[in-house]
Amino acid sequence: MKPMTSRQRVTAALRREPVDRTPVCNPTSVATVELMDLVDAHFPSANRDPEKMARLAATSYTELGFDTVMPVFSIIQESSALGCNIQWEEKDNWPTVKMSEPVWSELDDIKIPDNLETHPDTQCVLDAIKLLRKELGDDVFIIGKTMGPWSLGYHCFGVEKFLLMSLDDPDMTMKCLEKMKESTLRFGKAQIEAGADALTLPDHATGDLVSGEYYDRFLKEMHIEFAQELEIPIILHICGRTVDRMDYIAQTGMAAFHFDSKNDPQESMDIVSGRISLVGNVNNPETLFSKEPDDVAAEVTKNLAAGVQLVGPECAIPLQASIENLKAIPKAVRDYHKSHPPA
Amino acid sequence: MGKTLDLGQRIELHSMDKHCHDISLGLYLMETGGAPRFLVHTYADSDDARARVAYIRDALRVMLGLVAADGTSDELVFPCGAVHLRALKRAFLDLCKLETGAELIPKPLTVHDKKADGELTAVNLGDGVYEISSRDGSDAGNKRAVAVARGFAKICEMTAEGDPAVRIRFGCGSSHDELIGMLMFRAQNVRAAMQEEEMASAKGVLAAPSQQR
Repeated sequence: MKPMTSRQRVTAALRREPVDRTPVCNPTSVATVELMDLVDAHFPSANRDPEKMARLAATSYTELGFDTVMPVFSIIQESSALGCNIQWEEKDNWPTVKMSEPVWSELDDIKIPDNLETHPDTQCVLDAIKLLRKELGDDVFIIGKTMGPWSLGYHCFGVEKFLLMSLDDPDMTMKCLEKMKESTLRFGKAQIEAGADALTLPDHATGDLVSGEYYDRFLKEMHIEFAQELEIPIILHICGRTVDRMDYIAQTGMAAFHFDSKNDPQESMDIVSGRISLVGNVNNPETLFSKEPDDVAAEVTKNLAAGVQLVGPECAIPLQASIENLKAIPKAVRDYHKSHPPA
Repeated sequence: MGKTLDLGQRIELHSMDKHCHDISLGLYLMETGGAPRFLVHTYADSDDARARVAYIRDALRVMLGLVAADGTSDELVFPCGAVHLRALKRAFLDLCKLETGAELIPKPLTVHDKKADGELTAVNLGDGVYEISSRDGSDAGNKRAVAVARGFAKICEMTAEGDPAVRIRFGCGSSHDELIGMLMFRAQNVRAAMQEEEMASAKGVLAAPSQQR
């Protein structure tokens, strides 16, 4: 098969079409403190300054050998634009929403501001995507990120209040989700206009707090709508064990599901059964953070053997992960395909 | 063309150095010809960063007893040729707390122990064996000697021996007075050292919103 560019390779894998090799992809983040030093683009400013954001994001392609770049390292950019209080932290920790200081408490509070796309923390993402396209050209696959309404509910109402509302008043919860989805769509469309090739859509109906039935009831139809409205491939991201909702997720029409290492690759592939591509699922906190390249390679190989279409870390990698462990992912893919040509 | 280097296995990381512009300092283990060598490296590119790396390298020599590897100026080895991984990781993080330029003097083998209300000494018996003893021989002192020996066994991966178990042995069979002196404080407070390690391992890992507070 003719060699593909990274962009062609990822595009094909998201469509479940033939590839010259399995692409290496992280739809969430591959920023580390050492890469920050390398390109002089440190957290927290690399989350707020488009040039630094683009410079740090580019390292996944230029230094690590991944096929994708993802400039939206955090999950708080649009929540900042929605008025949430943000703990920006320092170089070696993630910015987070101060969920103990919720900004909304009822339906009428939900207002998606006119400046959602021009707020400095969202504008930064749009500018970074444009810079990356200009700097890296057409061969690289650039992924944007727009948060789903369930995650925004946690950020803006607080986790406990939002979950209690879903138990006590499901109709009100649906109305809130309907209002919050405007943010998901608008920020997503702005990134498409800026040049993103795909969008990660984290919507944290996670296995530890929310059942598969909840996903079906509250989110499936909305995710179908996102897949239809946002006219580039959408990669859904949900952490935790999610095999109980993968069948529903596979029905959404989204291009891919970024799945957690708590799910066995083969079991997951069997459930989705060719209806959606899978991305993942090398373990972060144990394997990438504290084990060695051989351990990373073993997890990569397990995914490849199961036929997972895009291989990479399960979620945003730990900021302290080592460069040699990250480089071990594309190396393991290349090594595997020496004896197992891609289908 | 990438700028990252093949430095071997990164065995420890000081992710944010308050004494040098928040740079990250890595300690790498390189296996050259089967012999383990250590390298301090930062990807930060500045004169201050280079001076910081040189200082930490000096600290590893003076405070832990490492020496320059044959034919190199920046790679280090233990004279015994062993790795002493856990002890080195712990000591490296502690050395990164020193300000550049702070005087480097190996730590003594005798320390005051608050819980014993007296002095404890690590006596070098040769062949990599040390005995922790209480100078005043009080009950509290003798109990603490056992506790500190147990602490060394954990953080230096040494074998505890004797009854009471106040002797500890390095597997390499060599003396490491500097390392023992440097980690005496940690052996006295091994629980605090463990807690610090646990907290460090949780930092920088992105939790799902449902796990955040």
